[in-house]
Amino acid sequence: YTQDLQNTKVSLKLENATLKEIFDEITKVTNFNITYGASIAEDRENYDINCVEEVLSNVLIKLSNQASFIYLVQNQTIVIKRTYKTSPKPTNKVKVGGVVKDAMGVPLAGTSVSIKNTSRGTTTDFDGLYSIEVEPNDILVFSYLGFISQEIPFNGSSSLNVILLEDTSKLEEVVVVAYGTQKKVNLTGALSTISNKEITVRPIGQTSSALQGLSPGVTVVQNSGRPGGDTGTIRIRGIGTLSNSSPLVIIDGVEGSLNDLDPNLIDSISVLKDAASSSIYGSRAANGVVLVTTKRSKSQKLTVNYNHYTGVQTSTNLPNMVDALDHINLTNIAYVNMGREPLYTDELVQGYRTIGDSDIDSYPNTDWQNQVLVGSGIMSNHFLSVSGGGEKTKFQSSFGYFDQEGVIKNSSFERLIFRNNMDVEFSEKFKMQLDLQLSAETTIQPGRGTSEVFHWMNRIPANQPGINSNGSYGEGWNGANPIAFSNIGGQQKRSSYPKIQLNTFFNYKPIEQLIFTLNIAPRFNEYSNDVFYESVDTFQPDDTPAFTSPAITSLTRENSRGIYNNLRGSMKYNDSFKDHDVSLLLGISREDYRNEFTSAFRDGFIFSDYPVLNTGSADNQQNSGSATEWALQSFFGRVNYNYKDRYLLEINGRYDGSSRFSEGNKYGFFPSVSGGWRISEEHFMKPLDGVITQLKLRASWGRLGNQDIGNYPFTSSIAIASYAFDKQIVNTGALNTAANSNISWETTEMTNVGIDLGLFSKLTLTAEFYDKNTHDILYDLDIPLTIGLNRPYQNAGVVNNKGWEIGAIYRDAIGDFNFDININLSDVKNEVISLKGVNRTGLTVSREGSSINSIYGLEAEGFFQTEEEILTHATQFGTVAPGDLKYKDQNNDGIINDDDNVIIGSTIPRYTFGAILNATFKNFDFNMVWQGVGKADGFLYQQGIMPFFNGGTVQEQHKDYWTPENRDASFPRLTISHANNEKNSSFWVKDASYVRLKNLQIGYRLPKVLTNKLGIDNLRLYINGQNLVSIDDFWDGYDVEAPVGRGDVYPQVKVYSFGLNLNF
Amino acid sequence: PSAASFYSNEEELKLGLYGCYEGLNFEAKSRRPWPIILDVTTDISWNRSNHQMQHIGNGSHGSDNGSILIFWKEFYKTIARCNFLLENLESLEKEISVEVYEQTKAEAQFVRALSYHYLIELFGDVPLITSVQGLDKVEVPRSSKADVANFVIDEMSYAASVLPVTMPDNEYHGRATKGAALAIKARTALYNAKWNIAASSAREVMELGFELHDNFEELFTYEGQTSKEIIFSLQYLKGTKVHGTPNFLTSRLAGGVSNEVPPQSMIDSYEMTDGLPIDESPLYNPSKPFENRDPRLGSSIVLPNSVLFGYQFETNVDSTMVWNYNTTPPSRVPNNDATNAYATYTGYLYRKYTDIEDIEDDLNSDINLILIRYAEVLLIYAEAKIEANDIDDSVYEAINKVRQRPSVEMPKIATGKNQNHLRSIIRKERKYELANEGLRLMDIRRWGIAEDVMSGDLLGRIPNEWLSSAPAIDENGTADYSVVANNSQMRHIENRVFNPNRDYLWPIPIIEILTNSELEQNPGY
Repeated sequence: YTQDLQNTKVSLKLENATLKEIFDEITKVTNFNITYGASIAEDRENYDINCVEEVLSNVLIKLSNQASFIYLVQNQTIVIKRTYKTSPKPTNKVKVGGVVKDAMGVPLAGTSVSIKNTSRGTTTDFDGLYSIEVEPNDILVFSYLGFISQEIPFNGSSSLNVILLEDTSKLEEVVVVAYGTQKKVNLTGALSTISNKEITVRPIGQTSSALQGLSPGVTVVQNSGRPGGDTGTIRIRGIGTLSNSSPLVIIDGVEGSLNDLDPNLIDSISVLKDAASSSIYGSRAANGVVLVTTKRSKSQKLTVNYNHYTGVQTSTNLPNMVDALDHINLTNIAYVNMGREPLYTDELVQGYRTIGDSDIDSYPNTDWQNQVLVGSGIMSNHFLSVSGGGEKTKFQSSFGYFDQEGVIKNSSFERLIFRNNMDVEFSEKFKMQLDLQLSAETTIQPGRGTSEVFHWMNRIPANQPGINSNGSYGEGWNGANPIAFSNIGGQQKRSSYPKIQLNTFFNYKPIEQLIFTLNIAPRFNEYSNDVFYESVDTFQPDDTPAFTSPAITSLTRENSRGIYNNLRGSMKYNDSFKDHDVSLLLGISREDYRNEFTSAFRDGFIFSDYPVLNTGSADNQQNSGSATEWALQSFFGRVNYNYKDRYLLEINGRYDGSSRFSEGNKYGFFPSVSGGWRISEEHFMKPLDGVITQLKLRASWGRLGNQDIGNYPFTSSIAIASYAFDKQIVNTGALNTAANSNISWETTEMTNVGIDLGLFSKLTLTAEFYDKNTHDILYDLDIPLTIGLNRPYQNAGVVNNKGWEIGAIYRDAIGDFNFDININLSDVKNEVISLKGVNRTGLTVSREGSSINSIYGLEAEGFFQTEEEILTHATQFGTVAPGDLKYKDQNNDGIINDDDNVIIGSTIPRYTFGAILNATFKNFDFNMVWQGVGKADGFLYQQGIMPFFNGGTVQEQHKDYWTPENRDASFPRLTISHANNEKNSSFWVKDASYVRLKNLQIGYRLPKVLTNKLGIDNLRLYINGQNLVSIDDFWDGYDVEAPVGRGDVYPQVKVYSFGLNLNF
Repeated sequence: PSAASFYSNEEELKLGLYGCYEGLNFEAKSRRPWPIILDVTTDISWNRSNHQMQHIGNGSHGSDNGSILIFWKEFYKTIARCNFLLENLESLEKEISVEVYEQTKAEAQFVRALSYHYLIELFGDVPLITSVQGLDKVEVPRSSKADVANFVIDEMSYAASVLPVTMPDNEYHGRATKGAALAIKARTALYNAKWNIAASSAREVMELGFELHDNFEELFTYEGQTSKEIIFSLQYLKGTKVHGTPNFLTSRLAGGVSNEVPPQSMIDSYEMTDGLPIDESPLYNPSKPFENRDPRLGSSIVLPNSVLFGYQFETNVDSTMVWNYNTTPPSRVPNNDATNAYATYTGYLYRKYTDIEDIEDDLNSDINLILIRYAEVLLIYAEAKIEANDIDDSVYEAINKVRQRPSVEMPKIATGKNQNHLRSIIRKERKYELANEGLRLMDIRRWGIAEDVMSGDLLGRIPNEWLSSAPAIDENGTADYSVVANNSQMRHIENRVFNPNRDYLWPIPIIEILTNSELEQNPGY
């Protein structure tokens, strides 16, 4: 645990003691060693010391004032050095004062301020303020644990403000690891940490997306900006498996979800990337582990924190659709190209030209985007936390309220969260943590779902009526009018997600080296989803009804309720013998989960203002219900050994049993071993002291598992449904999925080599190389459909991920300008080694020899330019004409068909990078996060990019279509629903690499003089911009972070916000 | 429950059996059950939306066609359900009555054989799987179409020997009966050129008491669902299983989307009331083309200036206002079915299975969809006898019965015709009688006329006038417009390609070829 002079309190009562006696006593009651030279050891003078629970640094300062010494802290050791009294008679004593802060401008309370080579000194107060008497030639020494000490000669000015930089070697930094903490220097696995500061700097609703760009090897893809749906998909070191590749998230020791937390609640995050760090989580760790620690009260002082921001969101990207007249003209060209009559008459075209917008009923020209994107887009977050406590109890209570309105109507996300983290100390030996979190989330979407709104908004031609001149809703597309169904209040899909999480730890420490822990963490969650699907009437311009869609208003109410229990006992022992440090962890845990689901349906609602089941008609009532459960029982352990803090060894193991597998296949063993060599501690490195501050080599190997494949994969269960005979309902039972009782774990083995390097205390570099092999991948391998059952999971696949990661942090200061730059870059090469020879077809497929979810299709060779070219080329699809896409006949059989499909792109991002700049200048601070992907392919299809897909409209970019005069066009000749051009082909693949300015924040801390008058400690104001700049070469109008799809996703948003942080 | 313990009692057995039936009731396009959309892959219908079914019709489909996959997958799913039941039935042998045991077994065999009956007509040779398969032996090669047809005939024979003529009163209708088994047996035999079996099985059905429904149009509405003409149908019930047929077939004014429509050639195929084709009959008046026509034309197809769901249906583009008879008094409303760009492309609509009762909620119809009815059995009988060249009075009697039902009353076919002439008559009769019931694809394939009727331009009506004269109608009832003076004004809807070396069979879905090394793809795919 953390040790520092400010946090260590001592009670001492010694009279007439020598310095040696006093120091010996301090060594006894604290964990510090004290070393000193002969002059101290032989000092015969007697001193009195009498303090109760006083901070150790103050004790030492007081003592040094009497006894003429200075002290330094190095590695848990206090080094005492004698100082010789200078001339006893100070002549020109002057008062000097100021404030000491860190690079981010946070006052450093308890900084030791001393005069070099004297025993005179003081410490800064809570606000970082100090005042000391100096003489002309004095040199002031400012030191604070974990920061680089500064020596500043007195220059005559009575005011001296100091900024201390963090010591990047961070010798004492402790990081959270599985089931405990570890000194960062002693880590042997691959682990990245993320601080609270890094994730609270961005205004986001879903904490998962805040991790984007922050750590090497951690890829976060955010496909959507929809309120409540703007979660980030986290991938640690590529995609290791063919099913769920999401990492395990552990919050304060208990499995949970990142998105259940407000970022402000988080103290730190550790990402466990290699097998050695995560194998202790066994069967769930194959995709990496994210460990989250929430904030706890650190002192008794009562502090209140309030953070707030309000912002406005706008869409990043929207396709530019053509207007009505363009649509009509282009459609007619396409119809003629297809050998059909023009769809629209010349009279209509003339009418648009001459009358047009003055008669929108006859000549509709609907800007669907303009009429649909009318949500306020306002988002705001309030977060209040109060912490403090007494001698035996401490608490931190936090309240968060987040509210996000979408860019369309009926789209919002709201989260209310309360968390109380309490620490109780019954006695020195027996302590308790009691954490309680209550949260409630509500997501609202239009009843048809948000993607339907975006789909129709960009599909319906402008010449279809949206709103008639008399204000009624036009028919849209056969009654599908996204203006209507995103606006009407009753038509909603409302999901609410209340949750109660209790997390209690009992720690019993019978002797110093041994600690027993019992963790009980039940969680209750409820999920309800109400879809009120209200009939929308659309009208002809003359007010005759056009369509009612859907015909009958209906309400579906789904409710699921889950109870999760987690019970864990563990024992930790650690001890040191001379240069040997050993620690041991043993534990046992049991987790179980049960979920019950019910659903009820009625239709025929007459009073749409009361969307509850009882107001629906009793004629067509439907209900359904189901339940699932699983359990996991585990034994785990860890041994750490280090010799002289130079040679490090760690062994982990877990034995997991899961209900998800059949008898005989339930248990799996997941071991790992890792070692480290701290070269920088070796004697032969001494000459480079100060240049190389840290150098460590690490290597690890381990085995991990994955059991995430549904709850009952080994049995074939009978699905109960219903049918009717003669208008009477009957129940049916059918076997739907083939059974595979042999199913077992999938196993990942990972080897990792890493190096940590620190230079000049300013630059730290970490590099990792890994090779990750996943065997027996649980995959619902295609089986012949003639079996008549859905494909079951089989232990079928082998996937390899090889990759490297580099992280670099540079910190420096130029005068008052302090900055740090954090750059990370990583690559992963993913390859499906084996799928038992069964390769799937489809748009995104996993096939042997290529990466997971590769894009699969025909290889386009441009356009056919002449009839002759078509005749001499292999037969394609349907009627083909010049200007249509030409495909490569891969097998030269003269027919273009499925056998000619090849891999035409990879969706797995490679060369993912992030660059973060933090800087402060006087009261200003600045943060910038750039993030991007160096290599990836994207593929749009259907409505997204294919002109006139299924009768839809076209985009401005489609005007560059093939004609005999425009042979080098961007798009094929215009056609309607032409099977040939709409095949999955490389023509629709685009480069999806990008660089994006994810975040830009400028803050200003109000001067102390001002805030003090207001009775507050600290007030900082800031402005923030999200996704301000994007550089990419993807299809126009689409967000590059959602690179595969039909273009109907709620796009990512730009957010401009204003916020404040307040402490008192 | 898990499979290991299923069928522990008679109730569970029923669940399993009903699950077999339910398997037959699937959609080939969203809300479009397979029998009722299958005709868009033929010359008598066209699907407006860019759907995989449309691709089959215009010949641009490949082995990745999603609709073809659905047919393959769903029929085999149903077969697997039957196999599971038939294999696990034995465990209950001592616990249930012999009657229930035997009947359940026969019903499952019926459903399985029915599935194979469709599979071989669509795909040709198919794997014949009659037992539950484990993951270890899934790669089954194709059996010849003839072998599978024999299997279907044998199974249906057995089922017919067990199944009752009608379900007892306390049991549900809509399940397999003796008549259903014999009717499908007859159809399978006909499709596979086993004329004698076809005729004799059809003859057996004819003795079971089925009757033609007097009102042809009513047969495809809610009123007609309990008709004695219906032998076997897919079952629907709001809240459990519904379809959206009325929405896709009806006009825009009626609240529909005019999605699957008959081309002009289908309209011109129907005879005049004198029994002659329109190019021969003196009754045909090009300026009043729908007068004096076989009544089944107007009953099966919504013709211009007729009424659909209370609205005057008129597709002449110059007709901008029409009558709405749903108001009292009738009112004039703008004519979307002429002016909307997405009104029926051909100028016509199918009327079968559109009942005004569905007007308010046309995506949730629960009219049962007929898989086989008595009129078809009569035509099977006649065709089998004609093909066997065993032409006697009963052949004429069977055809004429269909032609002369009270609401149709077409002139009798006079006796004394030769085989070829009768062949033409029976083929046209099937086209008129069974349009939009999903049987046309099998017909044009087995008659070998698909390349003649499918290739080339699919045409719709002339937007604001009528054809100047009748097109030439051939022996299959197919129209040739090259003789019509104003043919250039007909609306060009689609250019269809039919490759006779390939398109007589659907491709085996690509996924099957990839997962089953024993399978060989059909030629050309």
